[in-house]
Amino acid sequence: MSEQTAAQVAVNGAQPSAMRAKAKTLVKNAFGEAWKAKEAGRKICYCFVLGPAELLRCFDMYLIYPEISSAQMAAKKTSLPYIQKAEDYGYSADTCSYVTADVGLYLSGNQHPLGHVPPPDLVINDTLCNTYYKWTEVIHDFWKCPVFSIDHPVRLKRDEKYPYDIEETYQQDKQYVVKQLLELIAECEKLTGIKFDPERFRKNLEFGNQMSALWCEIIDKTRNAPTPFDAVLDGYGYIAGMNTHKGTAEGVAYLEAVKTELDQRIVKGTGAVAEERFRLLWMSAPCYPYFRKIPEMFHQRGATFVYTPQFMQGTRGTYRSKMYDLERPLESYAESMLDYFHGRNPRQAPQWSMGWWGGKDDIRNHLDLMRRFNADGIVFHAIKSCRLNSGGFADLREHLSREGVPILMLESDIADPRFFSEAQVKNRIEAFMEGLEERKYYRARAAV
Amino acid sequence: MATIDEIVQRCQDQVGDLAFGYVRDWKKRNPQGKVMGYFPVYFPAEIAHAGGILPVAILGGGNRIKLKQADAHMYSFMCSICKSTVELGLSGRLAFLDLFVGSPICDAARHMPNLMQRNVPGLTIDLLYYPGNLRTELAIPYLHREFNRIRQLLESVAGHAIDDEVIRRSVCLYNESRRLVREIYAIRRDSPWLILASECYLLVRAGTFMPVEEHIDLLREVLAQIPDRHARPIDKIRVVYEGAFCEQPPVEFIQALEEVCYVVDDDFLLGSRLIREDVPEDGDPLLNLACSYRDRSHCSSVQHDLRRLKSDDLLAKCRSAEAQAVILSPAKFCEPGLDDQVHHLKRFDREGIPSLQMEFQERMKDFDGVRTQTETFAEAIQFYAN
Repeated sequence: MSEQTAAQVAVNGAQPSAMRAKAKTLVKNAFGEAWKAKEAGRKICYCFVLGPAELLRCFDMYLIYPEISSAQMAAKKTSLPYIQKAEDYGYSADTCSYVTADVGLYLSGNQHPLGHVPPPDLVINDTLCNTYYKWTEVIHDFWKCPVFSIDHPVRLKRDEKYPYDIEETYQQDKQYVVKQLLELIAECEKLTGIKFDPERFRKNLEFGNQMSALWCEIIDKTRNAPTPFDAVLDGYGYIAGMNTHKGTAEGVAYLEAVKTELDQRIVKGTGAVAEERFRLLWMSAPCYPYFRKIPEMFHQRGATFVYTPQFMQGTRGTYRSKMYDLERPLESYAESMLDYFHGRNPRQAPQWSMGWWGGKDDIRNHLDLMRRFNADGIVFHAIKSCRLNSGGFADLREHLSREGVPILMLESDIADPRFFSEAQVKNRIEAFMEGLEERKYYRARAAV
Repeated sequence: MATIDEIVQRCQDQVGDLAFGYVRDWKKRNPQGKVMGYFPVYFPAEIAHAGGILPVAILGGGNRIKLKQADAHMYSFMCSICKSTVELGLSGRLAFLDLFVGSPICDAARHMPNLMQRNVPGLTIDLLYYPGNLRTELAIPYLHREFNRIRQLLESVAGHAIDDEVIRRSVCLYNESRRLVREIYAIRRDSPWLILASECYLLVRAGTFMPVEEHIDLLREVLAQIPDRHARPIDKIRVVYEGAFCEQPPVEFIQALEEVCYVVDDDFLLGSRLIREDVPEDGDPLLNLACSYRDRSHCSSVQHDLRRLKSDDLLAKCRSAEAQAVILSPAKFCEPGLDDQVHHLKRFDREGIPSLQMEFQERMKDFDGVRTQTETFAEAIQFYAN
């Protein structure tokens, strides 16, 4: 059997996750129902996936997630005309392609491949990513709607002792965020005419906690060999299904269904690929315009992805050790925002830092992940238009290579298909996989 | 007494010195003195000055540095200033610093201090986090606390307390320096042939590495001579330049523009001039600095304050300088600047004010394209505009 045919069988031999398909339906419905919600008198709020969904839901606002909107355009292979419209309007190809795809959407009468998206009544900015600031300013330019920014300070992880009290700084930062949340509540009350109900908020956080617990169980399942799902191909589907339903009973039900499916796959021994030979970590978001193509190039060689930091990074509030404390919901909510970057203990960088804040801890974290998921190597996906995700990769590669970790650096983009070169990506993947094969061979030989 | 040309030439030599000779000499002259570096856009230099620490803006390596190491550590699509700043660190050129303070003003700048922390051993690094929500009153107490935290950090570098009274005295000095810079800018707006934008840039830039007292003397010396300068107005269009709030273009780039236009206002080295009025000299100095950052500052692409539109600010600048056009010129890969370029472009289109868009990079060495583009733009305005 030729190599190509054998690879094809391997890909086709794997049984796809039904819950990935379900995620598509959830996301599609989230867009499809937006106009109905608008017509029913609900306020439309544009909120980033890391934003305070659980709080905004207390005001019956209908949430639209701009990143998911752009990612969906890309995954449906429709993003390029939108991006080009934005470029014709004046935007540079060097800015975030999520933003330019979104601008193209506004310039196209808000006609999204998944439905007609209503304009916003409110936009929530979240300072976790600097592009969010600019994006909300762009949205403001187009729609002249109110913008509310939730600002959570970030601190650099330090090995040596600070001359000031870190704990005191943390508590002050927390109070700063809590006060902003109170201002947001007042603004939402004014906009919607709905009074804030602390019980409802607590309930949403409780759903959030349930989702968090389920999600942690789910992502741990890739420690099985074979892994029951691929962290990129399936994992990002789950994230989309989850993020559009954060803090809801539907979100909990969805993750329960994911967990059940994965348990069944483990019992049956069903893997993400027919024959799992290599286990890899994927750093960064996927190349949505070729969402299937890149993971499948790995699958053809028996490699699958078992972890991505976006499991945590792209789903704020869903990490087990940071469950919301329902006795002090607002404070706890503020903590989840602050802890996103520097952890409860500012001396300890979070595992999903991807080279942002953790100094040398970032290296240790990657090595820990390799061990924890029994991985054979790391693939860094440098996103052309996302400096936040990709800015630290070259440095991490330098340090991790010195530790003997096999590394592959791929370059493409989250939404702009022009930055994907199939031949180049394929060549690099093949060279990397050959290296892994060789390593495996020599290790096996040395073990005999 | 040195002439303006000589002073400007001296500043240019100092600016181009990648070994930071001026600062190293200062350290030799002040053996107990400490030096702190900060990444643009803004740092409250008054606090460092009050502690006897020389605050130095680390503005990248310009077009004279070769990136021998930074490229291996930094992603291809990062702006040049972040890369060349890391190169300065990796190559040991920042070894004279006792402290480096970064600020996560953009996604690239978020990475830079962490990269330095991982790769430049011995350099003490911290972040100053500016409030991302300036609309709320909460920003002021937050920033007040943040400046206080920075004071504690600087005290640990200085080895002694930095009390309010000393900071107040520093505020007075920096107010004087800002007043003098405003005076030079006012002359440029009125009679741009008397002091060129490139000269003004170098004079202001000198203030980013020399003690404020010396800078005040330098500015006074220049101001005293400007009225006697022999220069005649030439028939050039008047433009405002926008886009260099963080990364700075090479001086030759500014000179290329000036061959064709009078650059009557700009945002070069915005951090040095961010506070547009005097900071109050009485009361709590850190609170005064925090209030000034929020309420007495120019707009910048990395300050997020929807109480006012950035294009309103730029438009006002153009009108007060009687500019005929604006040059929108962000740095290559500078996402905040590139996004704002569109914001300004649309506004200026609506207002019927011509605009020229072009990117720059601190590392650029060829300026023929800049000159040709600007000439074409200027001719269109001079000969074909209504």
